[in-house]
Amino acid sequence: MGLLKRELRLLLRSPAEVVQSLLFGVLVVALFPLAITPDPDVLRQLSVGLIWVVTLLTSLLAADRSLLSDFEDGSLEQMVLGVAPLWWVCLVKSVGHWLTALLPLIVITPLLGMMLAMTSETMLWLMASLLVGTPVLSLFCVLGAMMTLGLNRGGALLLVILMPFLVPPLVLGTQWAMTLGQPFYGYLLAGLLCVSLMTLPFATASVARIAVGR
Amino acid sequence: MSFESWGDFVAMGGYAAYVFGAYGLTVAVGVGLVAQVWVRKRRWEQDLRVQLRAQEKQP
Amino acid sequence: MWRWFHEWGSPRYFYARSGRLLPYLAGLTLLLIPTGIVWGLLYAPADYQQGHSYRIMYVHVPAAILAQSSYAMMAAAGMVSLIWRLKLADAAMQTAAPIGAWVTAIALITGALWGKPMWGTYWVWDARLTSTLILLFLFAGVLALRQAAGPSQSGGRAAAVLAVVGLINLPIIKFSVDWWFTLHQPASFSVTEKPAMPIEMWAPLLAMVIGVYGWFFWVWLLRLRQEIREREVRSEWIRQRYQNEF
Repeated sequence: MGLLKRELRLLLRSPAEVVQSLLFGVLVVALFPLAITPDPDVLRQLSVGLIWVVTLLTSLLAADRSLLSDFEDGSLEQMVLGVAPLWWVCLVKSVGHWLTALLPLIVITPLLGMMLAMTSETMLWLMASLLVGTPVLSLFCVLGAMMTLGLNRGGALLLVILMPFLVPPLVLGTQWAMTLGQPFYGYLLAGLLCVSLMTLPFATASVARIAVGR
Repeated sequence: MSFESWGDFVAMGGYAAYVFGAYGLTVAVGVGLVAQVWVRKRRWEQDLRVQLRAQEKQP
Repeated sequence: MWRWFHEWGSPRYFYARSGRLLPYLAGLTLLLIPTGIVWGLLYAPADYQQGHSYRIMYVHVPAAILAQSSYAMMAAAGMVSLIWRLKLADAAMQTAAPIGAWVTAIALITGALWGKPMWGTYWVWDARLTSTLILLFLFAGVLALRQAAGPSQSGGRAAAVLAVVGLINLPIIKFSVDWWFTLHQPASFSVTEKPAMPIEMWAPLLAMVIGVYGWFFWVWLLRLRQEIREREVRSEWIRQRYQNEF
């Protein structure tokens, strides 16, 4: 529990990261009407997918930063050697990533939806799909960040490594929102979240031991 | 033989570019990967030979 | 059982024994693949619907089958290297990755070359094409991570975790892509099961499938033995082996 408090305190002290993901989301969404068309009918059709893709990119963008400071000041090494189980540390890191990068974006989804002329019903289902689906993104992003820790390659490598794993939450999430909450996709997405929550922290923990040894 | 003549075979019923392209690419990669290891092995053996000779000279 | 495992896990023993397999694998490959190619190109009857363009099947289908199983084999080697920390398994995983990536690329490109005359376009977002593309990305991820992490064993372990997580995820990815596709499926074409092939058509296919497996194991073993040689270049046994030869 202490870990979770520490993570939250660190987050509150540096709102810059939250602002950065928010800005990134709004600015990218603003580019789409300029690049494609201002026609609300076309935008409405594309909106769910566009917002999901922007969220995914924001998540990747923040993944690099999520572990870097802990790695550089040596606190990650202490966590690996520390008393708290390592999978719990990794889970807390994923929660931190989700709270800084993704939750703010979900909160302003109505604004993004307005920019893309979404109907309020689709918007509600989009927010639901983001709430259930984005934690999966966070879990994978922290796993990927742990794998590339200290490799000085950053962004592109992370995208190459993670892209295949981000496909299922993306597909199930967008389908769920676009079918206006067809329960089938909801169950699958929730199931994916459960399985990811139960397995990925352990995978990340095993990589953390390797990363610290490097 | 399911072709009347060599000309027919080369034309491949009008799909020559696709069919021979696919086969050519596959064979090229198949042979290329084997050749790559072979070249790597030859280079490595030459390096080792030089090393071993150098060792023999200064016992 | 355990003794057998330990013996084969040691690079020296593996190197000495596996050399005997090479001529058989090479023979199998060089016998079956030319046979399959000549048979498929020249003697198999033309398809009544697709004409001669269907002959691409004899390279495309074996590549597509091999692409999936080579990923499974690579991930299995990764799992062994994670659990038992065998250096040999790490080398096996590292050498399987580029071969598998090439095979997947071949499956995609030959598929595109077949798709053009069949559907009139090189690429469609069909469920099977899409999951093969994602398989290529999985290979690319393992390769990129292995390359970035350098030759150290810790880099190999991180790549092994990635390969294993990918193997577990593969059914989930396939499943979600299938559902995504059924929702978007256009009615204009379908790649559903074709009527059963006559024996003159599938016999060369069988020869090609067995042939490419022989090829895969052959190249894998060649690369693995080269990798062992390079990694063990400082050890006595490999130097002695070569001292006698030169």
